[in-house]
Amino acid sequence: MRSSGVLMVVTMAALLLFATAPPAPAIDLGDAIKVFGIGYAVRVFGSQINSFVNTLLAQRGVEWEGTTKVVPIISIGSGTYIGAAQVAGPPSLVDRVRAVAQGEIRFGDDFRGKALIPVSTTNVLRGVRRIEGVGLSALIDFRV
Amino acid sequence: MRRYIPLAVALGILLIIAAAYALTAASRAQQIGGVSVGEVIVNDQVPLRIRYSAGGLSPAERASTVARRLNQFENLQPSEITVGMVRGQWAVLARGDLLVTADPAHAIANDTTTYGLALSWRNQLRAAVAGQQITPPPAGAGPADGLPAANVRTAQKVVPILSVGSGLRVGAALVAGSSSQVGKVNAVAQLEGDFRDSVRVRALVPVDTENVIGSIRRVPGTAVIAVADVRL
Repeated sequence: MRSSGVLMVVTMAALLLFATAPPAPAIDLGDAIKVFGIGYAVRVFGSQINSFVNTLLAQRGVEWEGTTKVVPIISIGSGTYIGAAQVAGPPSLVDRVRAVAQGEIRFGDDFRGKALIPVSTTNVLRGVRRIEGVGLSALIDFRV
Repeated sequence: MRRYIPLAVALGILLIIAAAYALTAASRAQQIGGVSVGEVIVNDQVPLRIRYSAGGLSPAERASTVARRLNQFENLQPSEITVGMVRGQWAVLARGDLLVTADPAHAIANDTTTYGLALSWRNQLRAAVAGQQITPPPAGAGPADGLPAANVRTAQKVVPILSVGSGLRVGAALVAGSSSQVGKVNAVAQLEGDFRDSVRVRALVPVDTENVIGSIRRVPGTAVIAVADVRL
């Protein structure tokens, strides 16, 4: 009987604490990247970054005609999230893109760089299959 | 009950006649050289092959829209397919209603103007509606019209990445697309911006000139597929 009374008091105190606590500040992007990682930052802030890139392009009159979307860049070798990219193309194809897989590419003797492949899965360790008809529009680096 | 029999017979005959005159257009999505295209099919021919998106619609969706619009007209005559302006753009019309807009991307791919493209598409549609054999476009024409699938080629090319504003070379990019369009790409313009101090954005735009200090113009139908940074 006595323990139930204590429990009630504790519950009431907890409720009072939550009810009077000031609202939590909006989550900061820099903190989100440090604490939760790039995948989380892209999921939460992706649409805002996408709008930012589209505005940047529109200011120069070179925006894409189709749909755009921001997705994480994942290393093909390790499967880690190493950045983000904006992809562009027809809505039905862009909807299918979940990530951009990054691997090394050699093109002739002159070009050695990073291939950026729009894919429909975030598990790139199992294999990579390009979604044809989707292009890369922007690279997004996160400052940690 | 018997007095309704002639009425039913007449109705049936009318339906058969209407079906005979009704235009049956269809569309299909195809993969040509790794690129998704939409084809409009009229009388078992392909008068239009749409390769580029416009108005938020993919090539396949655009082809489907054209087919649906064509099917709305009964007994459509070739002469009723015309060229006109819709919202400031040249377009192909059927009885004055929009069928398809002649967009700049297809016009560039066909080495013509949007007006020339609209005329070409109109002629292709007229011939298909009339049941005539469609003659292939002349050599050098782009892939928008009734070209055989094998004639559509894709290409890749390495070009410098130039920072817009300074014009500095900051890397190299591999661009891909149809052969005719990739041939026009001379550089990739890099536009930079910062989002909330924590994110650096580098927008990459395939352009037709290495002079990116002034205005830049995107080469439609091309995209960056790989990048190489310059190590400082």
